[in-house]
Amino acid sequence: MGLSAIFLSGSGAVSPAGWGQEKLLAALRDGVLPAAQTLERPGWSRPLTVRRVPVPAPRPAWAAHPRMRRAAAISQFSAGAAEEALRDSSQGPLGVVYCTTCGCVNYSRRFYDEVLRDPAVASPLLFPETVFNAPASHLSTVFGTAAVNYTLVGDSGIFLHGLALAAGWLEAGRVARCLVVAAEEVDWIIADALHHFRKSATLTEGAGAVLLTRERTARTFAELECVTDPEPFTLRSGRGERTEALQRVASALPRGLAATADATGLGEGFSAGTVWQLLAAIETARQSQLSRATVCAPGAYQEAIGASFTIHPVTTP
Amino acid sequence: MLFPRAQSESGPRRVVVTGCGMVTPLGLGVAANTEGFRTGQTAFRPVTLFDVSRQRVHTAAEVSLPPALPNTALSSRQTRRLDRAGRMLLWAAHEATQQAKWTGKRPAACVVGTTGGGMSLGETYLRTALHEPLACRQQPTRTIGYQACRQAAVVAQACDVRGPVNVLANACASGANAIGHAWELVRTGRNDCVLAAGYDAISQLIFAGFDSLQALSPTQCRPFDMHRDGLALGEGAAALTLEALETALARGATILAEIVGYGAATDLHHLTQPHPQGDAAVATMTEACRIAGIEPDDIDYVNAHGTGTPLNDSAEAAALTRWAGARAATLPVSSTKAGIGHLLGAAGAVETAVCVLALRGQWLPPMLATRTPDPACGFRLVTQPESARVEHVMTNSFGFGGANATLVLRRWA
Repeated sequence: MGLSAIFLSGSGAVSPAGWGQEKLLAALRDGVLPAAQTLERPGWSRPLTVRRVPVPAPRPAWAAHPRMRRAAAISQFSAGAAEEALRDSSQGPLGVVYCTTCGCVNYSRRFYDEVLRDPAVASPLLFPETVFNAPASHLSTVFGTAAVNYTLVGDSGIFLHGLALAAGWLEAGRVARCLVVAAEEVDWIIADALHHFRKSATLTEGAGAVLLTRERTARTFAELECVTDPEPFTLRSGRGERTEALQRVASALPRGLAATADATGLGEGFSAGTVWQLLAAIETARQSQLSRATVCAPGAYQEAIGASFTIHPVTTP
Repeated sequence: MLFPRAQSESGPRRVVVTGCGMVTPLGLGVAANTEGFRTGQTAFRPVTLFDVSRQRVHTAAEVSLPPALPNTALSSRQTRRLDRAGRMLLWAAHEATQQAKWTGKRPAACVVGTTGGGMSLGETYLRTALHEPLACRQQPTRTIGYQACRQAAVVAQACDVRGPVNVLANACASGANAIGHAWELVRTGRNDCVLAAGYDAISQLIFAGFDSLQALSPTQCRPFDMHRDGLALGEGAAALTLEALETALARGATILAEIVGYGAATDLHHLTQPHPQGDAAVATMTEACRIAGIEPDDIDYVNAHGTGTPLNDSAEAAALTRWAGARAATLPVSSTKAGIGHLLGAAGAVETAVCVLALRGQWLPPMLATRTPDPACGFRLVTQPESARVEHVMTNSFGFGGANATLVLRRWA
């Protein structure tokens, strides 16, 4: 049970910039961000501002799977990012760690709307898709893995908790590969809630995924170096404690020049935003020929956490 | 660091339970629950938490919560902001940590399973947003309080548990997965101590959801009965303090039981229906026993998932019969959902706690309402209270999305 190396051997993203990691990275690199859209909020004359994921074209092959027929947008985003991360992957038992902050909020809000109108006729088609682990279940089914599958719920840093969990499974030999996915979807109720805290914030949606492996493969492009302990803070005394928590996280990360990135230009993507930040940091490290990329996530629910990755040269095109 | 993390150099560590806390419809605290589970009491009554007049089913197993909360380090504002689910979690976690004598600030992880978190706050948020669109009062507080990770962090703070907090939402297996994950953290040397819990309160959305699926019994929850017609919903919480054996012995803790095996797998058959032959259940039972180093012959009691729905119980019956082989005919099995209903994210944690009680008291929890056993059950159903020699017990939890989990516990002698 000694320490071992954990490799990043695949990644994928679905964002308002489009379906595919390259579109996300190009948007962040070039600063050409997709335009924000408006979202009607019942009872309010002023619409909310959001960034939505465009409809995929062409239709992905996995979308034809029977499970995906009625699946919520968050499941579709997850499948898109996961499929990209798994492309040309090696074989072996595949675990799934699925991370989210808001979960299947669109179907949940729609189902509860129906319950408030008349619970006797609320749709049984909607309810199963409201459950937090529905997207994770779809991932396991679409990609054909009966291995362990956990759904983690937390703030923006939950994806980094997910990396540590997956690393533990790989170290213990429970799985040979592990998909770590974070995803969010837009609904007016979340945009409304966000508005209470940050009036100018733009809610965004999408997903990000990485494939962790125990073995270094031809597709390995980075190695998980560390995930820090979470640093709690309170909001009672303004932003001071948050800054201090972030500083503690930063000081726990390995010293030396490291690439970082900011994906907040896309809007508030909660857990998904952290994956985008990671992928952009790794891309920056590659472009700048730095050997390390770091990511810090100051969560919305009073916890900061960080992670560091060493960059490997990709050996295949 | 969460990664890399110091790990046991000498192989897997033994993991013991040193504290147990429970809140169920049978009562508040382990003492109140022990007699209820031992004698097979039931706790179903008309739903009072919200209007169910337009629903197909009108009963559930609600918890009678006292207005006060245990005295903890939380401020009055923090306790005021906890919803019903958070309060149940606090009661259970407080009882477990008190029993374990975890005094002072303790470096420990906290792993909590739930399906809904603070769902009632989320429901109130939506109703307010719809009916009073311009109202802002308390909406930010509801937004934060709704989040299960925030509730878990507050409860960890209340119990002076200082370390990473994780919330697992694996549907109805959440509680079992939380304990299983906590067990792995201690077993592999990542943590010496972990507070593991599961909790869920009945909410209108979830009640209406199960009602819409026609999964609720319009008569009585009768797991594994030939005439079963659905599950009953309940609510509650349970918490266990898990410690490395050497840590527990070093501080002179009272050991309640040992967790010796855990298996988790995913059923790919359907989002809400199990594979008819329970393939994933067989996989988790086999894996948990393999890790525990025991065979079906060594299991003295199985606390089944046993929801009382036709599909779940037939799949679990098939899986148990197949897994147990020749042992099946004499293997005692019951589902404590017969008395308290399905506690969703709390179910796996509460049922593990019941297993701890059974190991301590050497009895088997009966399901009195099951009078005509389904012939598919190739095992012995426990339908009357009974004393028994219980050395190893197994508990199954299966959830929406195919989340399957099995835990194996051993008596601490």
